[in-house]
Amino acid sequence: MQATTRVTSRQVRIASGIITAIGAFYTWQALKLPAGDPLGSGKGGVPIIVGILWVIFGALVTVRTPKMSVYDEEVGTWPDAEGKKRLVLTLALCVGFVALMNTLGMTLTSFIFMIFMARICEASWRKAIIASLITSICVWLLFVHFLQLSLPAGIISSMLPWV
Amino acid sequence: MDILNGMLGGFAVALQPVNIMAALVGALVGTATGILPGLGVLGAMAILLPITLHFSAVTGLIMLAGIYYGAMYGGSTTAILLKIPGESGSIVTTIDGYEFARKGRSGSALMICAVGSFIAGTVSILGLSLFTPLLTDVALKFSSPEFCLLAVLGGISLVRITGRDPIKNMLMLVIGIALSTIGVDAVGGDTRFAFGSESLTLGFDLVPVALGLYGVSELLQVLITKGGFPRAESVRLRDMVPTRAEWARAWPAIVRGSGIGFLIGLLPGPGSLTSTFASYGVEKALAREHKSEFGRGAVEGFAGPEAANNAVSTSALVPVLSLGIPFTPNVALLLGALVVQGIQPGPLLLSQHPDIVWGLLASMYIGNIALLILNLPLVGIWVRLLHVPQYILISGIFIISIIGTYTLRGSAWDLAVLFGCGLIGFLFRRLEFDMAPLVLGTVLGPIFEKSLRETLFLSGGDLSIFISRPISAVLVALCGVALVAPSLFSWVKRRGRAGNVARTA
Repeated sequence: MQATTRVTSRQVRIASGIITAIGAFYTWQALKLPAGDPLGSGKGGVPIIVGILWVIFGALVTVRTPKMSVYDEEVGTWPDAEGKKRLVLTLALCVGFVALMNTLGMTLTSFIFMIFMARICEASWRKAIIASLITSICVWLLFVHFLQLSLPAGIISSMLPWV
Repeated sequence: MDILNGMLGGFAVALQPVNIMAALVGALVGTATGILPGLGVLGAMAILLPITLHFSAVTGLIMLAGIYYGAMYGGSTTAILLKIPGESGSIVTTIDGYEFARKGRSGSALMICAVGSFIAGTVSILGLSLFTPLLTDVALKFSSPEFCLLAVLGGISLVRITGRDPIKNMLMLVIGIALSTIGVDAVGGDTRFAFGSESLTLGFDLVPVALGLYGVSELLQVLITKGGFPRAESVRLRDMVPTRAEWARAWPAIVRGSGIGFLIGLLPGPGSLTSTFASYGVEKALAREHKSEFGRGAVEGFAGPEAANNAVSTSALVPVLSLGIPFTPNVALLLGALVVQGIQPGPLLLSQHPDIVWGLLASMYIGNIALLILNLPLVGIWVRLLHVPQYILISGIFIISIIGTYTLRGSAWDLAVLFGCGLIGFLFRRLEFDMAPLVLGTVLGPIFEKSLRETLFLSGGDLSIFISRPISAVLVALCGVALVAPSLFSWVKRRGRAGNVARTA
């Protein structure tokens, strides 16, 4: 078991600072919208109020010394090196899914996605391929056959026209 | 008589084969996802929400509600067998339920919880059937100032009562409302904050936001945890019959828990956690002979809270069905599903769509019976679900979430929001930011904005309208109470403790 590192107050402060900065940008953009007459009834009314509150509460969280009240597997600790690796790989898979789904089609992309997902979960290649194949067929049956939804077919439509 | 007629009409809807199937599938799928400790009720609902939207409004809602109470029910199984609360309402169950199971009575504990959940659910549905039309009559007198204040009250209650840090919660609520303002303005139809981008014009739909923050972030959490989903021992059916003495102690606690849960569910705020702690407190206070058993496996210690938890999940639907205002993120998702289906929630829902409201209520009776009949014999299978290899569960749930989200609008933007929110939810949780206010904010945001702007038009910008109307004046007072009361309580508690310390010194 590798050591996990605890979330520090400084890191919470940096995160709140970033959130507050986004809030400030939102408020700046909101101020460009018409506040309406009577004041607040225009399309900028609520965004201005909400933006100001965002900045105020964001600044409050940033300025005071935030202390974590819990340190467990989820709250107050960062994942270990192995966890970080899995996280980055999963996010890369997600980006790959969006990039490939129109070209390869939803069913084929899902199949490939699940193989690598299973590999991240330490399944053997054989198990990963079998499980992904069965799940892909089930998912295809559920969405395309049962719910009658059209999913991007991609290159698979030229290979297997009935899909 | 109206209620009886409504209920009969509801059963006519709920007993249609497709709706019976929807209730059954929802309840079973909900139980399955409730059992997986990585996924809470909200995660389970969020993952399956996109699929329910492909059915008619009433069928989809029946299925989603089934997932909701099924997951509540499933949450207790892992609380008892593994000491892992499937959702916040099962936290109290882990105390005595798990200890009771460790004495070799896990089957009996599951049976008591199942029967308790059924009784509480049925009592609460009866209450829901009676209260919803009554409150709808009152709500018809409400106008935009009242709805605006109800939205504020819902937000404040959640912010002040859940989590440890109200300022962080407030920040999350405000961000949720801000997200709801991006894209097409619900009042005027203009776009805001789009910067010429087609994707931003689509805005942040509730489904990818909630599914990302709860479903995907929880999957990421399970994924990075080396052990994955935990394992439990199997339970045999014949071990599930409680003894006479256990029943005698359980049923009064179940009845009390049902009452407490129902009443707390009507109030704004996170009823699930509050009601279970309230029920536990009441049972502990009332216990005479078995007081010392609390914390070490007292039957009342999990029978009462589990009943309260199930009652609250049903009665929390009263404000949604009669007012169109959700007070918890779970029911906010139900409300969101209605909106996505093109149905305007609010006091007119009952008169305009009686089939939906009464059909939903009637289906809940059916779902509850189905849960009791199916889940007890199936408990062995449910427990075995935890033995399904992690790689199959995670990749399967992931892909259903992705395709489900995509099919809603056929937009890759929603997938980007889904993954982005998944990562944000994962990181925010580590930094101890609660996601519940953010999800509630995205649902309350449009209600708040629409009603506030209408109020300002109505009054010509005069804010005194909020206190000059009797109902809104009461709501302003309630907002004040919700804002101040928790601080006041903890101040009184601290003073009491300081007084005790001074006296002993």
